[in-house]
Order: sequence, then structure tokens, then C-alpha cells
Amino acid sequence: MKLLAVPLVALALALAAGAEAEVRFERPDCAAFKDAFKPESKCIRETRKRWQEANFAALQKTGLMFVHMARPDIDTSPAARAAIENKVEGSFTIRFSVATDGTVYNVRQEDVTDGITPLAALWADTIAQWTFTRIDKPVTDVEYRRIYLYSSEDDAQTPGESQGKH
Amino acid sequence: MKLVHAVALAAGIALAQVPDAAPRAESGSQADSPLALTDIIARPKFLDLKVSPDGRYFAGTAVMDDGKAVLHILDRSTMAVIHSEVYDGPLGVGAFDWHDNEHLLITSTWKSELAEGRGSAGVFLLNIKTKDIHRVWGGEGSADYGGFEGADLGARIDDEHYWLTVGPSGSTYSEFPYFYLYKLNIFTGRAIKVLKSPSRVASFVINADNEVTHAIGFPPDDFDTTIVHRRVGEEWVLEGTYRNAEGVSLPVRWHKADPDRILYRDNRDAQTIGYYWVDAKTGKKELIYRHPGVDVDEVVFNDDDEAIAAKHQYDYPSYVPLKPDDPLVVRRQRLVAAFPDHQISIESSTADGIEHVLRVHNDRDQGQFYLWNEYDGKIRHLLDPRPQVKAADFPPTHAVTFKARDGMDLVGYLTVPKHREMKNLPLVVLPHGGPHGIRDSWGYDMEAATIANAGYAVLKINYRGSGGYGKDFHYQWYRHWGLEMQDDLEDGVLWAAGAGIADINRVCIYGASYGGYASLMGVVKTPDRYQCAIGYVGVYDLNIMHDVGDISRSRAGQKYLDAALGTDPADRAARSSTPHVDRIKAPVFLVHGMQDDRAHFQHYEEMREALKAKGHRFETLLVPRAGHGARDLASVREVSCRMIDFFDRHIGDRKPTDAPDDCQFPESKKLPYEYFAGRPG
Repeated sequence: MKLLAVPLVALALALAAGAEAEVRFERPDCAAFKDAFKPESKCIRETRKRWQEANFAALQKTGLMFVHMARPDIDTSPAARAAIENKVEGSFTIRFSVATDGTVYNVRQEDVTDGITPLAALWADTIAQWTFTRIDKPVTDVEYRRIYLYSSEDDAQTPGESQGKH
Repeated sequence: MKLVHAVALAAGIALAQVPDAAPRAESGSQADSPLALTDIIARPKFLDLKVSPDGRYFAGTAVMDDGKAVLHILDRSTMAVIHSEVYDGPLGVGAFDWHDNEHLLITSTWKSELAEGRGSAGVFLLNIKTKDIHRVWGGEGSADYGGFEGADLGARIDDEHYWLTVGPSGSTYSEFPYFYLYKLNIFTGRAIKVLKSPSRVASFVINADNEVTHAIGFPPDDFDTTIVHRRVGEEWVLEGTYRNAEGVSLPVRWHKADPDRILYRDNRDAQTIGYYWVDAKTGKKELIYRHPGVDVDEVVFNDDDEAIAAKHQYDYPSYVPLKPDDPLVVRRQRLVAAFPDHQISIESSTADGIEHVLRVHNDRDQGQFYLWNEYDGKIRHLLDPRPQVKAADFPPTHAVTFKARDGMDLVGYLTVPKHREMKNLPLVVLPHGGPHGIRDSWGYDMEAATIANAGYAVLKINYRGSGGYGKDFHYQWYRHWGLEMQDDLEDGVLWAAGAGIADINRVCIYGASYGGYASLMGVVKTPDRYQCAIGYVGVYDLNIMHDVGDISRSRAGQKYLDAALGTDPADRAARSSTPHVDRIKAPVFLVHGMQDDRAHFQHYEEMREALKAKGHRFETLLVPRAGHGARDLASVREVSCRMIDFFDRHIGDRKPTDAPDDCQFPESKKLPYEYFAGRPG
């Protein structure tokens, strides 16, 4: 469940940045992993994998094919780098549309949780650079979601993908 | 770069051939060859391809006609080469890998007509944006050996440092040397010595905390014994000394998450290599997978370090799912469905793990490069390294199994001409080099294919003494050169003839190194079995092998030669071809590199003199600047052309008395060739 208790100032900043609102982040329920070796790490890996596969499925449903898949450059956003270095947990959703010439338009940030705004913005800028092969009809509202989680058990993270460092 | 000095004689050096396409097409078997032989032996445009961590660039090595490798950087958006690393003189690119989005680490090697790579010439860091390149390890820095050193770049420690294993360059040491482990800063070139190996030519196991935990090496004078040490504090504690013939237990790596589990490969309690998780505290072993008949090549793990599949190759390559429902196994099945009858390997991946360079290959295709994007689910073709060769025209290879005369099960690989019925074909038996521990496998083999392309069935056999099929199969046949090891080859011929594939009256035997030994022993031991024999950089006298050449110059080499060849000179002579040329009936073709120090040139000289003294019909071809096999393309072409011409005249469509082709072409090196008609009768 997403909580919408957000300070007004933060809300205003978020809206100015193009996001709908900042929301409080809730960690996933990891009870199912209690018997695993390092259960929290396992839970985090599985959660990230699940989110990533949902992204894959959402795009593959459209039949879109990449021409250029830009990756975020964390060095262009000190705030995003700080969020990673400070291990700020959270998530966001981005929706985008693709025109018939394969360019991306109407990139929108949704459900951006506290502290994750710079990362959502960085990804929104990145996704805006993506290009796909030409298509017959525009594709609208493709969903892209990311989650940022850190384990207290160790520093082991899935390389790159989940923390936006490429 | 491998710093361990392999004892094996080279396994089938890239022969390849190419009679001059136009004139040769009018005569002999070549008229039916679907492929121009020059196209078959042409160097591939790319040997490998690695995507940069951000997916913007590819880097790949290509081999030039002189055998030297260069590194190309390609812009992913255009696939155009934007930069090439080409070094002066004999310096060539060895290994490389992306350090980050801007930097490539390159290990260079000395390349020449004499050798594929003569140790490491240094480690370089290339900035692909500025094109600046600087040497971060030069081989002169540590003075541990008072001279040039070789270095093997190991795992990454952090954003600036890598492990570096350092040993002397070259193979002239009478004893195996100790190795040193360094931490190398790739930006400053500063290398800090961490430790000296407790055994010789050692490799190291390092845990997640970047602590060296194990060393695996050899005694000073024996490569058939393996020593494992465990690091306890600042001390090395002996964990085990293993006679390889009796089985080994070797640590491979630590579990990614569980600091108490370590992966081992072990064949102490079984014939073949299996993989185990071992509890480092209790020593309890948990078998992951073992095949009863063949060594496991690799165990595949998922992100949680659970074993999800095992790979082995008894006859064809096999992938055994251990967790069939694992997403990685399912993912692989999807790829296999996309490329049926191919092997698929992931060559490199982007840092986010979304895009992968795939190499898709089989017996008829050296490998196409594809880019697989898991996000959109699409696979795109990137490069065809051999656009001049169509896989559909390439001779196919089939795995075969048969029983030797004593009932032993043997595996072989039969490459057959395309567009010809697989019936009553002229046959070339092609034993691999080594011999011990080396094996043939299913897959793309330019040497076999070029002979098959000329109209011949080619049979490669994993005769006893070969590697991969268990420790007894490997080690129990030391001192059996020319005996059962030789019989296995003849049994392969009999099997092929019995199956109706080969014409028993049109059989030649050809091989390089030990394969050359087996070829000449074949026509000595069973003079009526073969219509011709070619020895390429071959061993023809086991007493010369025992006393002359690079293997004999080290103590370990002497020990190996005593074990593999035997200690009795009379027995060695009995299993040599040169002293028994009087038994040979078939025409012989000897090809040798004049600088060969492995199968020393003396083997050729004495065999030539013996054949000449006998008045035997034979031919010779020398490659003056070659060592244990010709490397440069022009020499390879000339050697190959001569060999095909020889087969054509003896088991092909031409007559033994026909004049040999001159095998000259514009770039020909005019290698010294002699034809001895022999004395009549």
C-alpha cells in the first residue's frame, strides 16, 4: 500500500519536477525468505528481479524494438549519486509513449517515493533518449518501474541494474 | 596468458589448405569442392566481441594474415571501427577486457612465425575517448627473476586495482619457477607484491574479502603432481599433494554469499572430474554433478550460486539442467529454440545485465555474433566473422562411437564432404596431437573441414591416452605409444569401412606433432592399411624425443618423458618409425618447421635420411621460419595445398604417378619442397 503523507514543500518540488507526488516507500514483505541463507539479501534480489521482469514483459507486450537504449550517467546528477551513496530506498514508475518514428514522448513520473526524486528524474531523462525502430501506430503508456533496496546483511547488490550505476 | 608450460605436443595445428582455386578446380577432387579453399583458411574478421559496460561500444580482436592479433573498437550505433590497436613489430594483442565505459585493459603478447604467443609483453590501459594508451605493467618492474617476466592479469579488486600473477617469461627453466602475486594499480602502474607462491607455477583462490586462501601448483620437477596449499594467517599449510593419475581435489572458488562454502573439482573417488561444494569448517562434501564417462567441463550457477546446470561432452556437447525451472535455464531453452543445432555462449554483457553478446556456433559455423536485449526480447545479428563461407556449404561433423579390438569404447568425430553420399568415401585418419590429456571435440574444425571439402571423409579419434574420459583412460596408457594407442586408430578405420562410410582401399593417415608420430607409426605397424601418410612437425624417433627438444630440457619434462615414453632406449626404438622405415610401403610426405624445438627438426632430418637411404618414394616440405607448425597465412596455404595435392594423388581422383601441383600463388613463400621418386621395386 502506498502512503500519501507528503510535506507540502516536497510535493511542490515534486510537481515542479514533473512527478505527480512523492510517496512514502514501503519495503517488500520478506517473510517468505526467512529460511533462506541471508534472507534479506535473497528477498531483495528476488524483488529486483521481479520488478525487472515486469518491465521486460511490459515492453515485450508492445513489440517495440530498441535502436538505442541509453543508460543513465550517474555523474550528471550529484543528487542521484548522493541517493545511491546514501542508500536511499524507494521506487518510482515512469510511463512513456513511442511515436511512429520510434522516438519517445510524454515521459511521466509516477509514484516517486521520498528521496528517490533525483533518480526518477535521471531515468526520465534517460528514457526520453531511447529510440526504437519505426512502428505503424504510436504506442502509449509503456510502464517502467524501478526499486532501490539495500541489505543490511552485506553489500552484495545485483550489479548495475538495480542501483542505476552503469 | 598461460604461464604454465604445457607438456602436450600441439594438438592439430591449424593446417587448413588451399590449392590454388582456379587451376586446382580442374583436377582431382577439388572439382567437387563447394568452397574455395582460400576462403576456408582466411582469418576470421573477429575472434571475439565484448560489449562495453554501458552498451555503447564493442571491442574485438582480429587476426591478420601474419598471425598477429589487433584490437578493434566499434561504435555500437554504426558498427564502424572507430579505433584499432595495432602494434609495431611482433607485438600483438593477447587478451582484453573492459575496465569501465572508457577504458580497456589489454594484455599483449609477442607474436611471430615461431609462436602463437611468447609470454606477456605487458599490460596496457587504453582510453577509448582520448585514444591514449599506456603500459601499466612492463615485465621489468619487480626484478624477481632478474629479467623479463610474464604477467597474467587476474580478477578485479576495486575500481583501480587488479590481481596480477607474475612469473618468468619463456620456458627455458630447468625447474618450474615460483610465481608472485601482485596488486596492480592500472592507472598508476604501481604494483605491490603480496606474496610468493608456496608451490611452482601456482594459481590462487581469493575470497570475497580479497584474501588469498589457496594456492594450486606443482613441484619443481613434475607436472603430473598437483599441490594444494591453504593460507592460514601469514602461513601456507599443505592441504594435499595429489598424483594426478590417482585423482585430485582442487579448490575453484568461494561461494558468492556463504563464506563457509568453497567449490572443488575432484576425481579422487571416481574416474571423472565432478564438482562439489565443500564446507570449509567441517570438510563435508556435497556432490553437485558428475558424469560417469566424461569430465564435467563446467557447472552453471545462478545469482544465488545454486548449481542450475552442468556441461560436458562425451560425444556431442551436452547441457544437463540441474534446476530445470530456474529462470536462467528457461532463458537458455528459449535461446536454444531460436538457434537449433547450435551452441550458444554469452561472450559478454552490459553492466546492467540486460544486453548480451552471443556467439552462436556449430560444426559448420565458427560463430556468428548476435546482440540479445532481454528488455525488448529481441536478438539482432551483429557480425559474421567469415562472410565468405556459407555454413550450408561447410562439411558437417558427426560424433561417432565404436569399440576398439579389446572392447574399449571410443569416441570419434567424422567430418564428411558436403554434397556427397556418405558411402565408400576416401578416408583421412587425423589423430590429434598431445597425446596425453588432449582430446578432440565436436565443433568447427578448419583443418578437418578443409580436407573434407576436398572430397575426403576425415576421422578424428579420441584414442586411449586422450583427456576427458577419466584418469585411467588418460594416464594408464603412458608408455603405450605405438601400441594400443595406435591400434585404436586402425580400429577406427575398420569401423568406418565396416559401416560403409570409408573405402578400405583408399585410406591415408595424417597428423601433426604426436599425430605425425601416429601417422608414420601407422604405415610402419600396419603397412597395408594406409595408402599414404603425412607427418607434420612429427615425432619419428622416441629416443630423439627423449633427449632433444624443449620438453627434455626441464626436469619435469624429463620425468614426463620417462613416464610417457619409457626408460629403455631399445623399447623406445621399437616404438619409433625412423628405425623401421624398411616396413613402410605407402608414400610418405614429411612437413616440418625448421625452428621446431618441440618435435625437434632432427626428427625430420633423420627420417628423411632413412627414407632416402631406403629408396622410398616420399616428399618433403620445409617451413624455414616455422617452429611447431606454420602460423602465417601464406605458409599455411602452401602447406595445405601440398597436403591436399598429396591426398589427391594417392586416394583421390588423380594417380600416384601424376606430377605434384606446384602450389604456388602470388604471395607464396616458395617453401622448399622435394620430391623423391624412390627406387623401383
